[in-house]
Amino acid sequence: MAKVELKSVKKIYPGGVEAVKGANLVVNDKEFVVFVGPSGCGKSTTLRMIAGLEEISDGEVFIGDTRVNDVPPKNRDIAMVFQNYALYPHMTVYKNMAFGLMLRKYPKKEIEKRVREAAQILGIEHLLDRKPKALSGGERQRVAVGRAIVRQPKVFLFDEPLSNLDAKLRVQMRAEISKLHTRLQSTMIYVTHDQVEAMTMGDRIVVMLGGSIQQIATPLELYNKPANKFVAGFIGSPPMNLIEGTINGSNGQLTFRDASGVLNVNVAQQHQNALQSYTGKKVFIGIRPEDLQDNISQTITPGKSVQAPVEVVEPMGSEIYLYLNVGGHTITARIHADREPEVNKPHVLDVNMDKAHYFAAVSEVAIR
Amino acid sequence: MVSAIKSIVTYTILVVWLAAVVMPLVWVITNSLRSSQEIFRNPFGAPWLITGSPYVDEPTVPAPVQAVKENYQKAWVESHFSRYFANSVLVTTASLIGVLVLSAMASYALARFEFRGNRAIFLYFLSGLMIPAQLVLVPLFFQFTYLSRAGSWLLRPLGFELQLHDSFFGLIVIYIALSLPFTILVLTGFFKSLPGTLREAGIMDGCSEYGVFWFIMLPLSRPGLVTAAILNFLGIWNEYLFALVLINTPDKKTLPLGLASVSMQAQYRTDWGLMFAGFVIVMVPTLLVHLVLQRQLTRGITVGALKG
Repeated sequence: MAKVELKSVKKIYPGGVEAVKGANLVVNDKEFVVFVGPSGCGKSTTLRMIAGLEEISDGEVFIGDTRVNDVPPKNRDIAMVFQNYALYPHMTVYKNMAFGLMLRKYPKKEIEKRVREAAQILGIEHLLDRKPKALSGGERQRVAVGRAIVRQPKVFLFDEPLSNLDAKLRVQMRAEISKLHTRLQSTMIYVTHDQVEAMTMGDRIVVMLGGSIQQIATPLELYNKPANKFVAGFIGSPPMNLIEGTINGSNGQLTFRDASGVLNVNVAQQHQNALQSYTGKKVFIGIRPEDLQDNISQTITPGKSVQAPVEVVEPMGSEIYLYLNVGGHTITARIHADREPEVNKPHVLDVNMDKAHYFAAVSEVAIR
Repeated sequence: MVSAIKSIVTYTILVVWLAAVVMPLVWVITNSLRSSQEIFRNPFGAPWLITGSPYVDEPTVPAPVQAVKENYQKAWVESHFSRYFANSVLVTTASLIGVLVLSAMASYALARFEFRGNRAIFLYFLSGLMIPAQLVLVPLFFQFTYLSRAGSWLLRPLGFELQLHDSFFGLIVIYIALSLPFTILVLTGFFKSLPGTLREAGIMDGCSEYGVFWFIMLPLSRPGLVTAAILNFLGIWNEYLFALVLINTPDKKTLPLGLASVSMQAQYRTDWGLMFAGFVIVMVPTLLVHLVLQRQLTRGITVGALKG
């Protein structure tokens, strides 16, 4: 097992497109790190540079203590699981899994032992004689994971391995990969665009956008202390409500007011200091849907409540997602399932201002 | 009603087409089972081998079984078809192996790697398709003369002579060169259709580029290789023009040349039974290749490689 270190790693494609703009990162030994971000953010490119499938334009990549910039993929002692499985269609499942070991000239008995062990872990022992075309999507994915496991590499790389599975299977495989990490105790780097996968699987998450790392943190830290407006909006489902407005100060009490004036709330005590210098300036307020609490009596408390017409009601079973129109912006709230809000009628919500986040209007970084 | 008329028209066209294709084939095969006398008496009749001879008592008319035996025996032994057949098998097999090996490697590189001049090389190969074979015949003949001289001069110290005229080697070289453009066109398209992540998976598993080609891409390109093999086999097995110009020694003739010489002799001595037997000898391998290899043309061999 080994740690992986990226030092100012860049990827510049011919034509000058900069896909990765100087990534710095240390993935510790036995750590499960998830790269997450929207399409084109450079997460897969970064992974492929670690794998050796993409040339590194600038910077250094270390696996363990070895600088691997010029080391071919086969000598990096890593295994990769691809998004589309990339199983060899002309080989049986057994051969697919054994192929890497055969190329490395392992003894036949050792190969058999490892393949059977991996197959047992993944529950695919009964599929070993089949060809990939005779497998379901989930089974193919297991074989692809099995192919990586048998090699017992220093580092596992996963490139959106679950994105082709249906929702139910995805949840199941998500848990299985997490279990696998616990069992194998190996370094794993996992790429996904699904923030739920990232939150549930990663020891730490690397959020990327436009080729740059936005934040590296544990899932909870990312959720509770997003470094900027992008991370705040990207992590969490439904996403955080982000509304532009102005910080106003009167009688030692700062308030946040959006352009329409519908959202006019008092800034919580713990945020007053940080926001002092923003008085009269534009900022974004970020409020998680669960921090918009349903006002049972539907009475407005000035500086704390917001009243707005309901646009959409989405009953989720355990709760209701409520979409309200606040001065032309749609904000989302999560309220109790037994409430019965009506569409187009005004609804009063209380804002938990202690949990509010603030971001500078231009730089979009968090104000703390 | 409209669909019924459509079906009738479609089936009529198909039946006529089928007849146009099958009838000559059947005619050649049945006539190869008949003596010349039998053919002259009724060129389109069924073989007496099946219906029984109406001239049992006439000693000048050979018995049906005897006729069949004589036709094939004469063709195979007296007309040297056994030798021509062996020559054709040698030339065709060697040419096919050569063209498939070279085309597969060239096509894989052209399809999978981006390098300066990739497109130009591909177009250069394709341009070969636009040059009629007849046009290159004379220049090639002279080129072979010069190449033979130059090659022999180089190889003489090693105790070898390079002979491109009147040699199987020369014929094989030409067949490979002539088949390359088409085969590269077919296989490049095929390699392009194979998923690129398989190469990456192979590399991660520890393959070199050669290993990826040999262990992964080549087995997957089997349908493409089979298609190319069948089409090239037809062209090479039946090739006449270059063989006629380059081969002089009777012992080195290929089947089409042998067949031609039999039909030329027919100007003076007509043995139609023998000729039809010769046709069948030429035809049978083509049919067998079709039957055997077409089964290999299993579509969708890459099913299961990627997401379903």
